[in-house]
Amino acid sequence: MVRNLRVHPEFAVLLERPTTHRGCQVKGRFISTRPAKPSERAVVERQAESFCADLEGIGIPRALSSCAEIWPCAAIQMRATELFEQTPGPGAGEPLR
Amino acid sequence: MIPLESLTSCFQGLIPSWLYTCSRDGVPNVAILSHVDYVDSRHVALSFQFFNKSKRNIAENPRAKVRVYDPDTMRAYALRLRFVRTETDGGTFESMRLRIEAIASYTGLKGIFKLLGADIYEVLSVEAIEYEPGLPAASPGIRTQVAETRLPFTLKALQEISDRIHQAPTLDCLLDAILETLENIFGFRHSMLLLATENADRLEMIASRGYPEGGVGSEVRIGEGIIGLVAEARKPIRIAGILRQLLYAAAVAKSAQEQGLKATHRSIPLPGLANPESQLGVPLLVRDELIGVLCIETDKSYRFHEEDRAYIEVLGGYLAIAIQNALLKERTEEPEEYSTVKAKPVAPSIKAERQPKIKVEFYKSDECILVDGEYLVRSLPAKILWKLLHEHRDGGAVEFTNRRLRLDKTLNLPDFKDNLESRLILLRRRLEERCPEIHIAQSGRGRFRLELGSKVELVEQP
Repeated sequence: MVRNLRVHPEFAVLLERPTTHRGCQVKGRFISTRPAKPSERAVVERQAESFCADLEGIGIPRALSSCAEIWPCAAIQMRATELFEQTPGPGAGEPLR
Repeated sequence: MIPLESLTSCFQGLIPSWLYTCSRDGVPNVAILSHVDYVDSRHVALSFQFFNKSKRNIAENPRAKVRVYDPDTMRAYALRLRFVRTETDGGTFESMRLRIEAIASYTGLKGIFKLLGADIYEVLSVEAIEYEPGLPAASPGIRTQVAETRLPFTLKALQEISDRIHQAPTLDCLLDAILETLENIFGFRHSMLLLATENADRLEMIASRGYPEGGVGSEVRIGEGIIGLVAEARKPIRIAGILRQLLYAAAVAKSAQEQGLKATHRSIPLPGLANPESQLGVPLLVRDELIGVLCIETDKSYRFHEEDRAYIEVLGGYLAIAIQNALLKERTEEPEEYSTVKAKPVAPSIKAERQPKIKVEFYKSDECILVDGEYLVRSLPAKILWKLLHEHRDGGAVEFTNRRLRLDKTLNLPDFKDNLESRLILLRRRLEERCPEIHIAQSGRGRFRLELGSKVELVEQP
């Protein structure tokens, strides 16, 4: 992924909550990357934990989701330039303001 | 290339798939897809429900990538794709459409949540995604309960079903034997049979297994929910991961509402289980005639495989013939002497005298019967019951024959294919569930007795 970003810095990130499918898409340009610091580990783990909890809500058991390896990880800095609605339905794809 | 056939688990719709596209100017886009279907060893179909950025990108740049997950291991696979065409009819489109419409009708979204097309893509390469942060490390030890292992749809199993069903002596026994056999051979614990009735716009449940409330006599409109859509399309429908798909549809409903669109159609309840994980509806067809629909539900994700489809269709055809044969057999074996079976007056039993009276009301305009204010049954079974109760009250009749009912002009049975036997079974089962004071007991081939456990007051309403 990082290799791709260096070659082609345009990126799109989809953020979605599994149980409600409420989602948005962030677009922008890649700036830089570095290994995540030990001080950032708690934030990453908290995020992973709440994501696994939500996955349980759509029937994916914790035994499966929590085996995802989340550390070590990379921090990626990027400049967000656009934000779009992505909850499925007729309004998906509209710019969010 | 990893053969697509080996990824059939990924195409069950249990875990959402991700679609990556790119505009002509190189702006990427990522979207979650409701369905990726296997078409053949070189093609997949993606559901196209809304005109969106992915769709626009594909028009500018036909290359895409889709990531699918194996629900057993969460192992991810990346498929590089090239857009070929959009199909708006044919087998692939139909099977996707029916699944999506069944979900839509459960959420009141018919017409809004629908398939506009099946986008067919050529698969250029398949690659197993190696470790990356956030993905489960590939571990063969992790097999989960997301999906049950597949059940044996085999010729041997069909043969076994056939053997057991052949032994059912009557239509009544046959209906229960079918559902019992489906549990014993395939492990399907929740199933129901619905038959076509004299009303062309709906089916009625005549037998169920694995539901405490029974539900005989429940009606399903043609075109609504999985059962109604199976009846309309005369094709099997299978849906896996229903919970996830309902959540997806609910998100669409909410977003449609915010856009000022209103779901115009009422939502309809799911057939039986409160939270089914998967459903399978099978049309029961003899030549081109729809006899009924078999519906199977599971509370775990059952994985229907592509090759099961042919077996399921054979099974549906087989059950349809078995039911139709049983109907015809019972009719030809009816006793001839209809005129000799006379109403025999009997004194009301002491038991009946002691019981409190129940009030049976017949609403002429709706052709429906209420017992003590509670809905019991309607249309032909209601007219039959009303007739039986009248003859019992006025002439003390307790013994009846199917033939006599068939020749009774007031019931207005169609001359051909009147389904009288199945309507009597429905009436009897419905009474057992809802009004045990009135009992219909088979007393021989083509004849039955009316037994009353309490006094009955008959009231005719306009």
